[in-house]
Amino acid sequence: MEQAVLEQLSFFGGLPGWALARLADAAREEELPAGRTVLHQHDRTRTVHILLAGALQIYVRVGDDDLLVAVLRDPGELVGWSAFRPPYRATASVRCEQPSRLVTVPVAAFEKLFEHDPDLGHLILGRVAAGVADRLEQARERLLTAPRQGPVGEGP
Amino acid sequence: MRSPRDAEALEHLLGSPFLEGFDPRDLAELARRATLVGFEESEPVFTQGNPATCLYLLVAGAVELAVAGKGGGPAMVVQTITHEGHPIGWSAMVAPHRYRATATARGPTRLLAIGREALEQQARANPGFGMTLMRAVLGIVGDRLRATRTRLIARRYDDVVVAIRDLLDQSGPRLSVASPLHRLPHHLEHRLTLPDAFQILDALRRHGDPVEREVAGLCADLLVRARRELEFYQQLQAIYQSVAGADPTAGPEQVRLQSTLALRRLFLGTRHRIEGWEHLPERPGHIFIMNHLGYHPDNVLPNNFVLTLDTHFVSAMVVFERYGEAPIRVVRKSRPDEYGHQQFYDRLGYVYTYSGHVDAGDEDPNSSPEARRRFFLDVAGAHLEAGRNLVICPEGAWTSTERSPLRLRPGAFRLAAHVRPEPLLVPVAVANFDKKLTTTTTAAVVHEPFRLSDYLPDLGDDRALLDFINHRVGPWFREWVREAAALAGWAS
Repeated sequence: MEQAVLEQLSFFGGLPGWALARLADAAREEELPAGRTVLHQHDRTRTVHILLAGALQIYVRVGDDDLLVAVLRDPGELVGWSAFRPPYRATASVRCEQPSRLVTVPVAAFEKLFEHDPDLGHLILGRVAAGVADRLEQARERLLTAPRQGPVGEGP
Repeated sequence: MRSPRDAEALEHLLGSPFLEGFDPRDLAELARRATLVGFEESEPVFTQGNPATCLYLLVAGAVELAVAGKGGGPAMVVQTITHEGHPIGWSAMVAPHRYRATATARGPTRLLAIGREALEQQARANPGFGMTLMRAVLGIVGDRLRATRTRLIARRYDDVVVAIRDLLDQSGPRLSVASPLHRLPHHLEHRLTLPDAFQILDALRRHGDPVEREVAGLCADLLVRARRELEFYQQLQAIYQSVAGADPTAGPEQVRLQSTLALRRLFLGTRHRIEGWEHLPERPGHIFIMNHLGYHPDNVLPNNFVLTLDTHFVSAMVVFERYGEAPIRVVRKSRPDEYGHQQFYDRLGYVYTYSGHVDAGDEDPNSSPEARRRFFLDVAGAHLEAGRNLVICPEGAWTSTERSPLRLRPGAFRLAAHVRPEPLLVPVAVANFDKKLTTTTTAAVVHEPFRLSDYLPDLGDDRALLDFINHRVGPWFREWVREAAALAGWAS
């Protein structure tokens, strides 16, 4: 895909041209319809996805129900961060809330960059961590406004 | 050469699961730059929103993490860190480098502090270290996200067991199939097996493998309230047992004292308000009349007996507090099938009254309603004459705070009219004892005592007495209970 597409995303801001070129070579752009699942919770993840346009819902399966935990609408947001850490399994599912455009990058392309230049590993993993930390704050905000939890050990 | 201080710091760094897989040479360098810091109970380690300048590792003690929402309001505890080597303040390594929670020491606590600048210098000097560090940070932030989602599930589904099932599900790929954690959801389903659940959690937090320790810690954080409720319930069980199972040679007075002291310990751990101390008579020997509240189903003991906490509260926290002696309560005689009720009250030397459910046996001295009434007046009157306080709920039944009081029955008032010297009637209005005491504020308000003769010229005039109860005391109590409920609500 075009390197210029990556250059416009803040996630890739400040990366050297050669690194962007390698990532662009490995990346592909996808147009997905509303309702399409991008990631399945518990599945092994070896790709990361960056939102270009549209909106993504993050949800977790609880019994037969889906609990929505976040909605991503800002271009440049990353999903599939579990691909960077063991056990490399998605902690939530992701689906398109509306027709969406994504950049999909195999995590192997990142790992090759990190091997070549560990400084880039430090930088990129720091950005991934910041994205997850923001999602953590959103989840905490939801928790603060959610109804109270119920009892356990009901029976006498 | 390494100083003893560096050696200690290095030992902590090498033992930290967070730094597993790091090059020991990098850790030795970090040890040189790390500082051991101590905090006292309730001392803040850092505050949400402040610049994140240090990453900490727990050395000893415990640190509570709490977050406040953007819209203000009280902060919520999200995690209590008790594992040695666990990182605190990872925000120091993540843009925008502001702490995302408030950390407070719980008990005397020691931490190893590593400045952000030192970590960044080390990362610049050794890029491999920087990358490994960020991978570890990503791991810890991911774990926190997972833990928060688990709590969200617990709230959303009003069920912490669902959340724990989900957490175990998520941990499946890493958790041993033989782990006792898999038994947890089953133990959590029933109150009587809750202690087994906490036993598993406590054991695994100390001796489990790294995954078990982490998951057990998350579960324990989710179950803080359940543990508090269990402890409350176990106190109720212990109080019951201390009475029903008291040494056969122990007299009622001794059993009353022991149970009162235990009840005081129970109530001191609850949120409560007491007002009207100034209305308590100087000397004992009077009748405390109070509204009677129901019970929360969680307080039902395994033998179906319930300690009605409102009367115990007034006895232990008001009357005992003032006079140093547990009062005599007037309770209904147990039904033949109520073994738990009978085993408990038989040991306390209380005065029994007979409800319509109870048929007195031939051996009973109260074989007719009139004889029972006379027996009650004589026994209760003797206690008053001996200078003992009585606690009576004139309604003869319980109800909710919202519906309290029910119609007052005349027994307590007839007793007051019967005894010489005439005792005072000391009204006490109570609220919220029918709720869960671990999550509510209760209230008891003592009102100005009165003598029947202040209102009734002829104490033998039963019609006037009933009229006084129904048209004066009843409305007073309705108002007093509303006030007590407001006091409890205000205190909440």
